Amino acid sequence: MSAYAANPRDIPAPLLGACIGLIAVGLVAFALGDAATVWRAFHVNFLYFGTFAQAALVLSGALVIVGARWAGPVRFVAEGFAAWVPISFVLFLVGNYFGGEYVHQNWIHGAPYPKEEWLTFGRVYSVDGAVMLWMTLLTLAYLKASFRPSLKSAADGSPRAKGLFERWTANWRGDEAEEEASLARLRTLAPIVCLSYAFLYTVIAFDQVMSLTPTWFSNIFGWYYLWGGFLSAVAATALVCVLLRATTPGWAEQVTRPRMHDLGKMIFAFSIFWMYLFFSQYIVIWYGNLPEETQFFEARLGSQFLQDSWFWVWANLDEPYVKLSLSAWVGCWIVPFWVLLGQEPKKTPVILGGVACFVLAGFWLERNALVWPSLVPEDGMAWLGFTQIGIALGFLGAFTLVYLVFSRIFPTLPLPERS
Amino acid sequence: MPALLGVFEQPGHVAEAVRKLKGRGYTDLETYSPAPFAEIDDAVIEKPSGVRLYTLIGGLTGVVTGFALTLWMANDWQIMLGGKPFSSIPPYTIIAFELTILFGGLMTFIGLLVVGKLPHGKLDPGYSARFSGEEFGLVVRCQERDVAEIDGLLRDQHAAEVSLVES
Repeated sequence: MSAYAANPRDIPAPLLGACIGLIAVGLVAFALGDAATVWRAFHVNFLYFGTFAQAALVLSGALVIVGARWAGPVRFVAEGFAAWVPISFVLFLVGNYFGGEYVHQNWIHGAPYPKEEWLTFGRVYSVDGAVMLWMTLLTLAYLKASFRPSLKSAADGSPRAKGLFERWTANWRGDEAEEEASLARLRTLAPIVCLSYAFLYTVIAFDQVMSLTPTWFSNIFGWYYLWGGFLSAVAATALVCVLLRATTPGWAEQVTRPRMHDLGKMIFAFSIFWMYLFFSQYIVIWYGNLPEETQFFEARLGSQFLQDSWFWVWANLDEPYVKLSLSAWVGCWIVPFWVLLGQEPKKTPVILGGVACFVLAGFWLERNALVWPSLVPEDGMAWLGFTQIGIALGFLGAFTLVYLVFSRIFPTLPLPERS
Repeated sequence: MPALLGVFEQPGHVAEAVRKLKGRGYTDLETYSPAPFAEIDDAVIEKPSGVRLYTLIGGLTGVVTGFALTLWMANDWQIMLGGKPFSSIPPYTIIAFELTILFGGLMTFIGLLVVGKLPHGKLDPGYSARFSGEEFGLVVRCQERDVAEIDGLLRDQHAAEVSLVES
C-alpha cells in the first residue's frame, strides 16, 4: 500500500510556492493590464485550459469504452485534469460577462447578416453556459463513479476528507460489487461524455472562437478545435506520467516502456489527425478562394499560403501573425511527427516528455493564433506582452495547483496498485 | 537436427523461456502466438524487421509518383481550373499523400511475403492449430545432446507440455 493520506497539504513546499507565485504574477498582470488585453488573454487561457481539461475526461472515457487494458494508471492521471472543469465553468461565466465587450467585440453590438438572431449575447451566454454546466455535472458524476471504489478504504486514513469520502461512499455494497458497479456506470457515462464533448463543445468552438470573426464559417472548425484539446490532453497525460516516473517512488514500475510507447503512439497518430483536419479545412478554402472564407487564413498565415501555388516569398512571413501560426504548427505537428516517428524516441522518457512539452506549448500558441488575429488584426505581436504572459502563467499556476490538490485528496496518483 | 516443442499458456512465460534459451546460446527458435504480444516480440526479435525498408521504398515512390504524375499531366494537357496555376501544390498534395499510403501499403504486403517467406509450401512440424486459438508454442532446434537440458528448461518456464517434434 502506498503512503496515500488524502491530505491536500501534502504538496511539496517548492511546488506549492511555485504555483502560488505564478498565480500572484497572474493577478498582478490582471490588475495592471488594460481591460481589452486582459480579457482577451483571459479568453485565450480559458479556452486552452478548459478545453484540454474536458478532453482529458474524454481520453479517460475513450479508454473505458474500448476496455483498454494497456493503460494502467494512465486513466487516473488523465482524470485528474478534469478537476479543472468546474472552475472552467465559473471562468466562462466571469470572462464572458465582464470581458464580452472586448472578446465578442465584432458582433456584440449587432452581428452581420445572416447571424443577427444567432449571435446575440443573451443566446451565447445562456446556451454556452448551459453546455458548460452540463459538462460540469457530467464530469462530477464521472469522477465520482470512477473514484468511489477506492474511497471507502481511503476514508479511514484521511481525516481531512473523511466527510466527503463518506458521502461519496454511502450505501457501500462491498469492494468487489462496487468495482463492478463503478465500471458499469463508467461504461454508461463514458459515451455520453465523449458525445457531449463532440457535439456540445462544438457549440463552444463556434460561439467562443469561430464567431470572433463573425463573417467567417467552417463546418469542420468544431472538430479541428476539439481535436486540439484532445491532443493537448494526451500530451499532458504523457508529460505527467513521465514526471511521476522520474520523481515518485513506485511509478517507474507503472510507467513502463511499453506504456510510454503507447502514449507516444497516441501523440504521434493524433498529431497526424490534427494536421489532417487542418489541411481538410485549408484545402477547400484555398480551392474555393472566396473572400468570406479566405479571410480566416489571410489573418493568420498572411498571403504566402493563399497565393496561387505557394511560390515562396520570405517577406510574406513578416505579415501579422504568420510567425505565430507557423510556430504553433511546429509544436502541434512538425515536432511530434518527426521526433516520434521511430520506436525508441517514444519509449525514452526525456524525449517523450520533451515532445509533450512542445505539443502543449504549440497548442497554447495555436489558441492565441485563433483568438488574437480576429480581435487585433493589424498588430501581429498583440498576443505577446507582460499582461498576456502574466495571465497565462497565472492560469498555469492555478491549473497545476488544482491538479496537485485533487491528486492528493483523491487517490489518483498515489495508488498505482489500483491499476 | 532434433526440434523440441514447448506449449505455453501465457505470453510472458514464452518470452522468459526465449530469453533463457538465448542466454544459453540456443538461437534457432520459432514461436507461435494466437495474437501479437509485445513481450514475445521484444524477446524474439533482436533487430527491426526488414519489412519496414519495403514500406519506406513504397512510401517514397508513392509521394514522388503522386507529385510527378499530377504535375506532368497538368502541364502536358493544360486545362485552366478556377484560375489556379497548372502546377498547384496544395491539391496535388492529396494525390501524393494517397499514393504514399497506397504504395507503402502494397510494398508492406510484398515485403511481408518476401521477408516471411510466405506462403509456406507446408506447415512447420511444430505448428498446431491450437496456436491460433489460446495457446503459445516455442520450437527449439538443437543438438541431440542438448535435448534433455532444453526439455528441463522449458518445463521450468511453465511449459504445459514438451514434446520432440523432429528427431
